[in-house]
Amino acid sequence: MPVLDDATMNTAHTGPQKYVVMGAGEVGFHLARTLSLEGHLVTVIEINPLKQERIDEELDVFTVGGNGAHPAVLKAAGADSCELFMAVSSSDEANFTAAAVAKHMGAARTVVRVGVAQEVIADRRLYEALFGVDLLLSTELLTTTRILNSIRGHNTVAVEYLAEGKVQLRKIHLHEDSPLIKHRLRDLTLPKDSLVVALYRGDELIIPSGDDIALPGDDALILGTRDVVGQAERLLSLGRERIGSVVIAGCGSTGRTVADALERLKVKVKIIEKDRPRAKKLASTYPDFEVVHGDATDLQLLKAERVAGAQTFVALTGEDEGNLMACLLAQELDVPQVLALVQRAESSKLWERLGLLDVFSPRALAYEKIREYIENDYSANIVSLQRGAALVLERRLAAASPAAGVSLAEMNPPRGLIVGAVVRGERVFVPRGSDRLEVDDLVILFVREEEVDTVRLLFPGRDRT
Amino acid sequence: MNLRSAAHFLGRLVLLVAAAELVPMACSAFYQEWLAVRAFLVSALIAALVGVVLMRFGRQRGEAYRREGILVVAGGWILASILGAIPYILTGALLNPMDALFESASGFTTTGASVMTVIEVHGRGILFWRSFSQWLGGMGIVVLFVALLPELGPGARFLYKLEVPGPSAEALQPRIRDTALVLWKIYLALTALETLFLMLAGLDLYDALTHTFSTLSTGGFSPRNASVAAFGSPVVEIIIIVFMFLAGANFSLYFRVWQLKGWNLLRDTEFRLYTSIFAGATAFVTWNLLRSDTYEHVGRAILDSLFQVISILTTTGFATADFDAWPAFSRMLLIALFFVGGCAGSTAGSMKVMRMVIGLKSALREVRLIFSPNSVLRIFVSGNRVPDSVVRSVAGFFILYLSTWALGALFLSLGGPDIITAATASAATIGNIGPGLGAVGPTQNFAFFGAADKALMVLLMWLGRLEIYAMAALFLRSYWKP
Repeated sequence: MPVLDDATMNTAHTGPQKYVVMGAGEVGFHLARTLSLEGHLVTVIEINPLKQERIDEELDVFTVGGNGAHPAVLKAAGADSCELFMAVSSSDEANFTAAAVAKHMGAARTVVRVGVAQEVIADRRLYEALFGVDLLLSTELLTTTRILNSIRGHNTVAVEYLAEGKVQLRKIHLHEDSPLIKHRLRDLTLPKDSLVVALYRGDELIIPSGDDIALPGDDALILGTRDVVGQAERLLSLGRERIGSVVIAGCGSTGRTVADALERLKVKVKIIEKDRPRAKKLASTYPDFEVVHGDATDLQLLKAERVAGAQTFVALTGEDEGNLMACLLAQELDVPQVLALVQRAESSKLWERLGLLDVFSPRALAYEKIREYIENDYSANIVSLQRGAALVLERRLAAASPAAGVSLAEMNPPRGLIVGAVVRGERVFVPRGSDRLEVDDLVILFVREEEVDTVRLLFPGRDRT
Repeated sequence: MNLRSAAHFLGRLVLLVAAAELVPMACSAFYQEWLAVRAFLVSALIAALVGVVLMRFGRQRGEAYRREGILVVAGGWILASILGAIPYILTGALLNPMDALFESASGFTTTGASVMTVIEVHGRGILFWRSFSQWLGGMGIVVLFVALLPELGPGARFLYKLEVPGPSAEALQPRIRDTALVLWKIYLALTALETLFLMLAGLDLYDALTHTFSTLSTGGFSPRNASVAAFGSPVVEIIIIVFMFLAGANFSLYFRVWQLKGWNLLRDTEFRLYTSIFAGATAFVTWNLLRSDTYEHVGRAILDSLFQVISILTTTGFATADFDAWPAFSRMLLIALFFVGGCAGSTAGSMKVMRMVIGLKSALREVRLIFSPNSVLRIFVSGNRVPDSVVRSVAGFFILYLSTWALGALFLSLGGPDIITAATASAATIGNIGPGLGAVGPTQNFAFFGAADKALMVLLMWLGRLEIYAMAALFLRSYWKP
């Protein structure tokens, strides 16, 4: 049994920490603000002298002017000895360079935010290894997740992407005639590479074993690889939870990511796009969707296209004004669910007064994610279920791990710990009893609070390597 | 304006002053001056009452912006001076309230101008308070406030900048509270060091402490009539010269020297110029004193020149010689030094060497622009570019400072003293120096001025201590009615 390494325990922090934030935009400003108000030592690097002055005046932080990609600037900001370096400027390239240099200088951890970067997220491991990034965030992916969660109308975890989206979590409501209620979990045949990982019963959260049976009214959390999770969901919910039709107004890069996801969910989608060439292109990309060329802020068009009959209206054009306008119109047409993407989200109360209840900003999402990362003691991709009663953890299997080379049946994990999925190179699968874990596998674990120590014994090392 | 929020902070600041008044009370108790003990206790209670009332009226709610910050800082200095005057009245040292206010403001603003005609007749406690108030005001009561109260939040940074507005008020630490703490620690360390040296040179604890207080704050009050000359000890004078010099340099330099071992002080443009002015002025004065046969003894001439030059340059105002009796050239040179002051970020007053550097460089830039109008010229100090906003603020400061001084001199001359007295009294109060020349020379005092003159000089001292801007804002109609 390996001796627990103190550094991996990630004990609670005592006293103020040193943080460096690069880029004083929306995300950077709010990070610097909250962290400094909490009494931490924060340094902000900002290239624009006017923004630097503003920070200097409004926040109790140290500011350094200049390009954060330059070692001299990073040195002046103390990035060489900081607890966390957050590269959240608007330039993806500068963020990567700065994080790489900061890591090389001695920053304990780095966070990089990228904007429109599906490609980057797809090759996440490569980028993380290349630039020494501990947490890579794509504002676009965060936005998509947020939208899908809203559309599916679940309150806690509705869809969560793990392992770069190769694995998904979905929460579904169980009706009386769901097969999960009639059979014990062990006897239920779910599609290969899918798994029931948790049951919600009132306020209780159960990490089930094979003998458990669900009760009517329970919610089930299922996990599966991207291709089969929908299938498993349909099997358990008997197709009752079909999502109504969705209208996407403005289909740029974010819109396409959302559309891709909706296509996989087999949802009826109508896209309204102002730009004619783009509309044509969309029509050929999504043959099953209805693509309309027109302006979503035109009430006549919305009426003519029968937007009123849709269940959800999402505005994703590049302009805040257009999005809000389109959403107000959709509201006027009594669309049950209206979602607006706004870059400047400061006046959320104002939106509420306008009747727009679901307004969100990609930057606010990035901010929240980084806060969560810090609060969770720098564990990436942790999903906390039922207020921390259970956690979803990603662990890379180290050679020293007692779980390496052992089959699941031999390991016999305790009740309250489930090995949900294994990512081995390009392959993703849900392991069965006979499957053996190998060194360098990325395992996705579902753990009840009480069993977190067991995870530390079985899978020592950092949450990510 | 959010008056209640400003009142809340002012109330807390006043409580700090109340607590400070307990220190001279302890001193009085030690020397068994029981009447003074009672006077300090009553003064502290009055201050505490004012503080509590202000806090009751105020509320730490709503956002405090610039206007509120200005009110807290400027109002804090005014209130501290007023409440600090009460012990002078209650101990019977100065019965006239205007005199007491003058002495108190002169203390907190580290000016060192006195209305006491004979000093040694007063109790030890009240003279201790005189020096102690200078020590508090030297590093700044708001800086102390920021250092002691962790819950001030982001507003603390702005308050700090209002009190330390020098062109190089760079933060030493990410959190402003830590910066204030570092500065106070340096200040405390220097205080301990000088007290120790003075005691080794033969002074008792009381003399050592009071002189240390007024050296490091560049205040200049001495519990002795003859000031530092009273000790007749060249060693004491040399110790005080060294610590006046240290107090007149930028305190953040010491932090840097401490942090980056082997860091060279002379790499700093301002420090280099400060040292050169000190050395150059001393050389000229010594030369002038010896040539005019004012002094026979060379060593004495050098020591007195050193002492007087650094005392005026750092705006301390201690005296070991009656420089009013010196030849015209030496006096003129000292008058010029009235307008220089120490380095930015020091406890010294007046215009500051840094502003001289920036002002001169920007003036030279204008000269160069006459013959090459298209060149793009940037101003650098110690290798760092000075932003245009700072250059602008320095130019504005020059104009406000000099015109305030001139108006002050004009007003004082109404009362009838000679031109030198009026001009140097105005310069000595706005520059927080202390003694001037003529009737306010080093062996004289400010007692003969009328109440209106004294009130004006109190205002000049406040303006000078906060480096004009924060205090001047209170006089703008648009400040009160946005």
